[in-house]
Amino acid sequence: MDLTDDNIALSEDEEEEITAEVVLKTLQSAWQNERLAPEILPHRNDMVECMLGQIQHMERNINKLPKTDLRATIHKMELSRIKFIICNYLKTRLSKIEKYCIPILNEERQRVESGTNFLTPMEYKYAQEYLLNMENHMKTVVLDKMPGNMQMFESNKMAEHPNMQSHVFLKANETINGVVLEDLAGEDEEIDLEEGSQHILQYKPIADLVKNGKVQLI
Amino acid sequence: MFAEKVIELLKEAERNPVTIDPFNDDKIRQILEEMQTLFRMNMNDANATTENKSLWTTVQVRHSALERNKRCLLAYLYSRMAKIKTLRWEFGAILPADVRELLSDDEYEWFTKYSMNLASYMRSLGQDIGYNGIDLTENLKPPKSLYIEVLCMADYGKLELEDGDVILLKKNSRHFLPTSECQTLIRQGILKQIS
Amino acid sequence: MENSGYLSISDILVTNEKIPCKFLHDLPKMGFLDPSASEDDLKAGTNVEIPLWLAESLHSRRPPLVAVDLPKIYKDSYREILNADACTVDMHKLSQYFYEFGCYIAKHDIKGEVSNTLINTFRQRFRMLLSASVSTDSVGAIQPLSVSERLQAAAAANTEKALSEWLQRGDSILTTANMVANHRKRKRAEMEMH
Repeated sequence: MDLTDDNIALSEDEEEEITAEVVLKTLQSAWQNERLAPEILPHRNDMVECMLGQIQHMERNINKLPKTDLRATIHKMELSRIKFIICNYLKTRLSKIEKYCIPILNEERQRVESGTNFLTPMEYKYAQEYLLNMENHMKTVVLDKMPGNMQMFESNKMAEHPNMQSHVFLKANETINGVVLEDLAGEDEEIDLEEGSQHILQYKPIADLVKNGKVQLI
Repeated sequence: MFAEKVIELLKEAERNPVTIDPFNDDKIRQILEEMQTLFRMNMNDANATTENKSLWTTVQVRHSALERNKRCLLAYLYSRMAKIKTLRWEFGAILPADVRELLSDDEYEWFTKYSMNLASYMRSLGQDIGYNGIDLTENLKPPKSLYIEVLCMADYGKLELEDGDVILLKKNSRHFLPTSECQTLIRQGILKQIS
Repeated sequence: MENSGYLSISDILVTNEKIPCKFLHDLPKMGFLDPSASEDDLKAGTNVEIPLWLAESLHSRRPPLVAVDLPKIYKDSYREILNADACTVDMHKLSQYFYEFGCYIAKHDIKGEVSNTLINTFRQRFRMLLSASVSTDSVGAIQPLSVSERLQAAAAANTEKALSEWLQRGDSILTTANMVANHRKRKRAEMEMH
C-alpha cells in the first residue's frame, strides 16, 4: 500500500513518489469531505487528473513485472483502491449535482463570472443538460396538457436545497478562533477549535472552514 | 377532483421503493381531464362573481385543488425519474425488455437522454492526459480482495479476461476471478459471489 | 426538514392528513367537502375535517377562509399520555406521520405545547428505537411505529448488521467501515445531545 516501496521504475523520480503520496492524501481528504458535506464543494480536478496520471504510470510499471510477482499484486490492489476513491468522489459529486441542480446552477452562474466555480466545465455542462432534460420531460408528459396558466415549470418551487443544518463530525486542522454558532433562540455562541480537536457541529457555521481546508470532516 | 386520485398514484409509487411499476398512463389521463374540468368550472364561476361575490372563494378553493394536482403529478414523474436513473446505474445503457416495458415511451426517451449525458460526461474524464474516460458505473463497491470466487448463475458463454485468458461461463460453473472483471456481471446477476 | 420539498412524496402524504377547520365564509357548490351535509353549498360556520394542504391554502388567504383547530391527538388528553410515557403508545395506530404532521400543526398552536410534546415524544421513542435496534429480536417487540420511525429503525438495523459483518471479517482499508462507525457514533452522540 506504500507507494514509496516501489523501487522498480520510480527510483529515478524520488520527487514524484513523494508528490504522488501527497496527492493521494489530498484526494482522500477531498473525497471524505465531499461524502460528508451536505452541499457540493469546490472541485479538486487538479488532484483527480494528477492521480489519473499516476495510475497510468503505475499500470505501465505493473505490466513490466511478471504476472506472478507479489509486487504486481500489491500494486494492483493499490490501484484498485485509488480507482475506487476517484470513482466514488466523482459519483458523489454527480449525485449532488443531480439532486440540487436548480440551486447549484443558479449559484454557479455567478461563480463562473468571478472565476470561483465549484463545478468543472464538464460537470457544469452535465448539470445544464440534466435540468433541461428533466424540464422537457415534465413539459411533454404533463405540463403542456394542463389547463391555461398552470403550464409553467416553476424552478423556484421545484428546487431542492441541501440541509446546511445537518450535523457533521469534524477535526480541526489548525486552531480556529471565533466560530459563531447560532442557536434556535437566536442567541449566538462563539467557540474556539483547538488544532487536532474533534467536534460534532452543524455544518452551516463551519462550511467555509471545510472549503478552505481548515477543518476536515470525519 | 380534489386530488384523491392522484394520491392513489403516489401511494402506488411509495409501496414499492425498490422496483418500478408500469407507467400508469390511464390514471394520468384521468387526472389531467379532471384538472381541465376544474379549470372550466372556475372560468364559468369567475365570470359570474360580479353577481355572486361569494363565488370568489369557491374559485380559490378550486385553484388550490388544481395546484395540488399539479404538484402531485410532478412528484409522481420525479419519483419515477429517480428510479429510472438507478436502472441506468444498475443495468447499464441497455435495458432488458421486461424492464423497458415498465417505462412509458416518453420515459424511455428521457432514459436515453440521461444515459447519453452521463456517457458524454464520463468520456470526458481524463481527456487531457490521454484517457478514454472512466466508467463510473463500475467500481461501485470498495475493493476487498483482488480475486473472488463466483458461481455462474446462467449460461453466458465466453469471457475474455484482461490478461488474455478465456473462460467459459456455464450455468453452475465455479470460477476464481479478478474482482474488477466480475463486478458488472455480478451486478447483472449473471455471476454470484460465494464467500 | 429535508423531506418537505415540493416534489417530496413523503410531504405530499403528510399534508394529505385531515385537520379540523371552521369555514369563515359561505362556499357555494362546495357542499361535498362536508360528508355529513346534504346541500350543494357549504355555509359559513360549518366545521369540517379537510386535508392539511387545503386548510393551509385557505388559511393563508387574506382574509382567511378557514379557522384551524388542533386534531385531537395533539390536544390535552393525548398530550398527557405522550408526555408521561410515549414508548407505550401504538404510533402506527395513532398517526403514521405523527412528527411531520405535528410540525405543521405546531405552527397553529399559539401556546407552544404541541412542539414541546413533539420533542419530548421523539426523545423518549428515539432512545427506545436505538436500544432495540442493537438486538434484532427487540425491534419486533416494541410498540408499532410511525413511518419515519420504521425507516430509522431499518437504517439502524442495517448499520448494526454491517458493523458486525465488518468486525467478523477483520478487513483493513475500507472507508465503508469508517462510515459505519461514524453513523453509530453519530446516533449515540445525537442521543447524548438530547
